[in-house]
Amino acid sequence: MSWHRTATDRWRWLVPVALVLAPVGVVSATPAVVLCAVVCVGVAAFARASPAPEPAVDCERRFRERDDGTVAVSLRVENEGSAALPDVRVVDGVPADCTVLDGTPELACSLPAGASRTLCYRVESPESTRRFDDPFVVVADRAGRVELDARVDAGADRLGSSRPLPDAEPVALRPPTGGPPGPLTGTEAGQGLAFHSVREYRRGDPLGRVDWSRFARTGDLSTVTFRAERAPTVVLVVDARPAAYVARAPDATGARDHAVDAARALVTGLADAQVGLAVLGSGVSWTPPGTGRAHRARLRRELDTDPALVAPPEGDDPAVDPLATTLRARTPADAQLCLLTPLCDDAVATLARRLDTGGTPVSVVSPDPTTTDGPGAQLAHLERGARVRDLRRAGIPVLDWTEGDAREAFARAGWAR
Amino acid sequence: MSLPSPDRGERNGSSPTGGTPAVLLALVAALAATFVAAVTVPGTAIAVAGTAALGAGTVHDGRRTRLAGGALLLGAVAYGAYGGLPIPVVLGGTVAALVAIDGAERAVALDAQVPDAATARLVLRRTGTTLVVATVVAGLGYGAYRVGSGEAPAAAAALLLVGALLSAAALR
Repeated sequence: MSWHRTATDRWRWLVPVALVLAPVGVVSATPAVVLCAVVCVGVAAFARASPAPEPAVDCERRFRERDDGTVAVSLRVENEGSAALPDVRVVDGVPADCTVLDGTPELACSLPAGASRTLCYRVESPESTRRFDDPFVVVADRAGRVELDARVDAGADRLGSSRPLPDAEPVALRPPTGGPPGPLTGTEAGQGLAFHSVREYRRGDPLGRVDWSRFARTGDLSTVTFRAERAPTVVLVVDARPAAYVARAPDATGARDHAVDAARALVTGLADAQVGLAVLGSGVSWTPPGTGRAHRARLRRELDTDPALVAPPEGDDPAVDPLATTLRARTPADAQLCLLTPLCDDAVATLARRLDTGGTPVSVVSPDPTTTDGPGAQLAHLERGARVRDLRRAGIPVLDWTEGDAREAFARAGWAR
Repeated sequence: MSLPSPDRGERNGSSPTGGTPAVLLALVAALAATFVAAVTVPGTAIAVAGTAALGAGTVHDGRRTRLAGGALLLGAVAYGAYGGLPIPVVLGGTVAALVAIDGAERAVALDAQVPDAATARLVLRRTGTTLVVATVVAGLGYGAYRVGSGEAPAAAAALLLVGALLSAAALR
């Protein structure tokens, strides 16, 4: 790191001023004016004599994602040198499109040898990765005569998920009971924007809903009703059991990773729905349904960091009954489930059917990890095909997806709206 | 937790940020120097012009305007000596003028570099150093003058010598 030196020479001009004042004082025999000149020269000499700082500044940045969709950034600035730094100014390199919500990324202080100060502020959690510049540090001497500035390496500089959410088309799953999914309107009257019908006025109807023009025309009071709007609730269930840890070839992308990709596409594609997440590992890790930017950031974080989705699975497959019970207990009454699984064992197909017959609409998104080379592989392929057929026969829509990424599969199957 | 305010200087609650504390300090010091200089009408006029130039140079970041203002302020204080001010008061005025100039310079630098940081402590420490140094030099100079027991031309010559030496050191 090289420090760029700027000499401000703030007090240099005092010397000529003193050189004017002193003779004037002497000639006019006014000691006060001479002493005035002495003070000026004294201050200039002090500035000249103060040692230039020898900065040894260490910066360390930390990010902490919070549940409210913001990121707390802390930047620790430490004086590692043996001399005190009388005047340190630090500006953290916040990317231009990151909004600072609280606190300030700037610091002005003096740092004794070995001392440190921490700068804390919050930024909005970005949709995709942002790179922070190294903090800009200015160190000045006691009198401010010399300034040294440099960008000091601060370690962590990348903020955001390793992978941003994809720009997926809106996706429609099964029509939930009471109306189709999405930002769409239901069939019954209620709160909303789209006109539904006009009915007779009933006592207690809000005045704003009364059709006053009809009242003026006919003298009858009537009330306008609107189509009820609903935000459907969808819980994405990602199968991360050991049985789902399969791939076409040892070096191919695993079915679990395809399922996570599909889940990421669904988080964006179901932007108008309340989306929850359940990861089936040895147990169920549950993120309750919600909407909004902060919630999507949380889902993205869960999909990126959930141990069951990141590490290779351990232990045996969990029993289906407790999984079904847990899912049924946690899923809200009007929610539907979207099960993301390679469908490589009977247990998960049973789970889907049991949940569906239990009254929770289920749809299945299934990346196909099977191949047809070799008799064993062919058998697995056929068995999986039978499972897909059985589920479809039971009225559960299955997106059977062999090639390409999740968004293409949704588009091909006509699930993308 | 309050909503972020777009107004500069109000983000950290009540603590002023950027150049504000230094400007306030410079203003107080410049007013003190003007008060000292205000014994004659020309002195008052020069001091007010100096303060105004210092302020304008700080607000619009004009280094030359600032320097001219500082020089005028110092000149006005020195001119006060001809209005019959006692020597300690003139020295006090000089110190105040130097603190005002220091505050103004610092305000411009801090406002350019860290407009949103709380700077009050730093400004008090650094400008406080300038105040102490100027006061100590003034005290030493006045002490030397008193020891010279009123023989003004001789003492002035001696002090001039000291000044010349310090000037040489400063210009080296």
